[in-house]
Amino acid sequence: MDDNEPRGVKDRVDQLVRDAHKTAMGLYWDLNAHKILEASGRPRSKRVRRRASVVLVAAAIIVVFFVPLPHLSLFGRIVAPAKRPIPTSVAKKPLPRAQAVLPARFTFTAINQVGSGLELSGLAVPSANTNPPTYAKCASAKLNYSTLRLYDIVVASCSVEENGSSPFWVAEFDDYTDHATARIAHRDRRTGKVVLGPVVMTWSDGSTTHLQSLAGDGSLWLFDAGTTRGAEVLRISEETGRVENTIPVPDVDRPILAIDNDGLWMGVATNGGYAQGLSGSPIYHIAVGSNVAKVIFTGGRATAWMVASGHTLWDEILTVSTPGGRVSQAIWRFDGPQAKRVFHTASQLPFGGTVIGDETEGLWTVASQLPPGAGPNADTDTDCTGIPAVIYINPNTGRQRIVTTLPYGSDGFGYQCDGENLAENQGAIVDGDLYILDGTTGASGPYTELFRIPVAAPLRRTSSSVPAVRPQTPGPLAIGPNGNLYISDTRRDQVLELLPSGRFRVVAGDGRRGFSGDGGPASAAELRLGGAGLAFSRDGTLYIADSGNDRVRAVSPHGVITTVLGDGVSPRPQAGALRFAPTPARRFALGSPRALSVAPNGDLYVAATDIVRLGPDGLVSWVAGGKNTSPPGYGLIESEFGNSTGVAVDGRGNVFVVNPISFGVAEIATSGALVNFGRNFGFGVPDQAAITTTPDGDVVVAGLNGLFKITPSGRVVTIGTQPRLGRGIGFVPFGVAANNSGVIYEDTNPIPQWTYQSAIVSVTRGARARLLWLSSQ
Amino acid sequence: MADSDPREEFCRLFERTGRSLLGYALLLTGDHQESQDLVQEAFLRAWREWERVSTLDSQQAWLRRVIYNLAVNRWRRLSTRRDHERLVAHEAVSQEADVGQLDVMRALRSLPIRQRQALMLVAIDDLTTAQAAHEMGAKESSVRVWVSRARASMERMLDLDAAPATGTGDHDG
Repeated sequence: MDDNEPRGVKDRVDQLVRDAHKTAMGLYWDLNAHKILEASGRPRSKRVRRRASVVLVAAAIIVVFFVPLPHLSLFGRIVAPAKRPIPTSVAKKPLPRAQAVLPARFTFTAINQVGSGLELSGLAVPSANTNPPTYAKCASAKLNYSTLRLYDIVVASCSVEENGSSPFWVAEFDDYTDHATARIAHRDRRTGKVVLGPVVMTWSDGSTTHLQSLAGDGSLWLFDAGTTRGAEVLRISEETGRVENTIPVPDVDRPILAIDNDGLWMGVATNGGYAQGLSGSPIYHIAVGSNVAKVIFTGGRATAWMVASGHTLWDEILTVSTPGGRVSQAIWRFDGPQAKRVFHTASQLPFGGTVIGDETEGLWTVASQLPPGAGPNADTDTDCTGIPAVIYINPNTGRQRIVTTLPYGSDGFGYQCDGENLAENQGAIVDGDLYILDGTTGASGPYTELFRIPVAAPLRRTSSSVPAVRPQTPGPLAIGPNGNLYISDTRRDQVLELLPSGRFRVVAGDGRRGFSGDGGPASAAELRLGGAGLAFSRDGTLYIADSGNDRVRAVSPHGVITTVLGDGVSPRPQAGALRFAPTPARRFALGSPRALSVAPNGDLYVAATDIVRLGPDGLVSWVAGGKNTSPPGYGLIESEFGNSTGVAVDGRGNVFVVNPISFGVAEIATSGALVNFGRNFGFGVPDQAAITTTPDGDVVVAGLNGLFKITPSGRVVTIGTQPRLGRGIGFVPFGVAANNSGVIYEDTNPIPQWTYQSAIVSVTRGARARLLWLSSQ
Repeated sequence: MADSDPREEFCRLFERTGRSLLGYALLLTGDHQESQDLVQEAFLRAWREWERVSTLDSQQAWLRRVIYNLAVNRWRRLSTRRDHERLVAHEAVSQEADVGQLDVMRALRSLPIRQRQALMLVAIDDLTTAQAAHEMGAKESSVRVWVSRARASMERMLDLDAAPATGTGDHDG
């Protein structure tokens, strides 16, 4: 605090700084205003400026009236997979036991991974109260590394559904009037307070049990059985609170909703609860943005839970074998809207209901039916019919293994021993730890226990025989056709791929600086990266700006590297010249390509000395830049884009570049003229920024002072400030990429006295940053 | 006044702020030549954007901001080009070459860049923490902390306070 400092010392420090400044001012400086004016010519004329604004307005009108809205693919994953390695092999040694990490005063109903922590939401129950619904309060809490902070109590008598995105539902019911209402609430990121929105739905029968919602990114989905028209699935905009779609569905008892990149899934047990588990249980697939429901009959089964992530739907299904009515369970996996069954295990599976889906590396679940004495940590409590155990399921084979058992009994996990209070969406994997919420009953009433089970750390040690590839200086980024992040590492002179396991794989470059390897495997080729950009074409070809070699290289989907642009002669003779005639790509003298972007029509845009375009005919054409092509009075010492760090082409073929002269981002009109967005960034001008486009048509700008987006209408929106890696450490973005779900990836690198570590982070639509990789040091 | 020659206006701005900005850039980077380049480049940009810059409330704040951005860019460019060694050598030399107030400058330069910037804005340019926060694109509370830490570090490095600093050791690096 300022005031705590002794006044004298404070003043003396400031005085010394002022003196140093005076001394510095008094040094010999070979600089004056006339020299600068001589170097720079005239300021930009008003006419040019006006023309630019006309173009901007025209562009805005075109965008507003003629361009169809971008396809709505608003949904991220419901259960975020842990990015830290969750190994596929299971340890032979028993793991440490689960630890309880939550005080027994609350009944939380949802747990979600948020950033590096967990968010819990549900009812906060006064511990002495035995009738929770009457006195309960909606609560949400955040758990960071086992420190629980209850940070909000919302309203009396409610239930909360919160599924990982910023807005969530609050449903309230009134015991006296039998009215129930639902609102959208969101948490203010600055204050941490929950802000309730207006009531968006009411039910007169006082029951909120109709309500089952899922928060996608951008919309909330709601199954409502209580409308006068019958049962409907509603999609409600988080922003406006308005109902955007209504989709008639069968009136069923508590369907299970799950959402992934392909849309909404609704599992229906048509004959009632799965405990009876009878015939005819369809799964509906409702494509995002449409009212069409595809029905997939799984037949003879009732749905118990569903977990969707990425493009994969996991569904555990109870089956009933008619003779004797024996209940068995199975796990089904559906990939994409085609709903192909991937595996089906028909044997008796002892699942309780808590399932944590990990898209690529498996499923974690808690079994409840393990016979006493069967687990690695076998206890024998004969009062219980089964011991809860953590089970890992290999997604490809369906094989399961017991990883560890959990404490149980009256003082531990599952007072009921059978884990029956475990429900869907009650687990999360964070930082290698599996967290599971379990409802139980204590002397003072029901409450929730939260357990942490370190599932990854001991396993990681057992599977680290392969030397890991680590980034050194992660630079420009791109998202591959497989959805993985690709990183241009300027110090390694290699392109790396970040695998879902959290490991890195070399895609191109043998790690030696040079030029070689065309026609051979990309990982054996020499590159000279240096802040060099990456881009993928539709067919999966990876383009690499091999800037030190003054070439653009291409890696085919089969891994063969070639040169597609540039003759390797530097400096480029045409640099800064007038626009040039289309030139064969391999004869074109390209100067230090830095950023790349592929247009929807397959043209490759390259930010080099100029902005140039490589067409499918193999000819390079001029797009913008060069000394003499700038507006009058604007052409200067360096070419307009001599240092541009970014070029991005959106879905409509509009080209955006980082304009290093005006501190901003410019759109290039077809004439080569610029429409600058620079001033809209205010003081937070993103100089030398990295840019990319999103599927929604936004241009994402990663600058020193924040993450911005330029919407298709030309509005500049601040997404947030750059993530903080630690005390006093800044984030200086070098690369940025956005995936199909709108998740933004950024990285940072050391700069003396500014930031000392390299890191790769992802930022979700809710502006939540997550650390994917951090350099040691 | 309103219709005065933009060149004259620009020259006046340079006369008014140029030296102060050179001093600012030198303290920021610790490199005489580099700071001159930075200031030149900042004024160049101001001139190119003169129509806009001339209307700003504080042109000096804009220029400081540009200098700061350019300085960070330079470090960044060097770091991506793997010229760390050169950068380090370069800065070590300039540290010795710069004259006067060496200890203070050295102490300043050892501060993290945001702390250094915050302290300079408050001490030299006499900005309030709120103004400094606005210029730095940061929260006022952060700026206050940066300034406070910067002063404490300077005090420690320059051995200013003869009296022992009791019980306030929150700078445990």
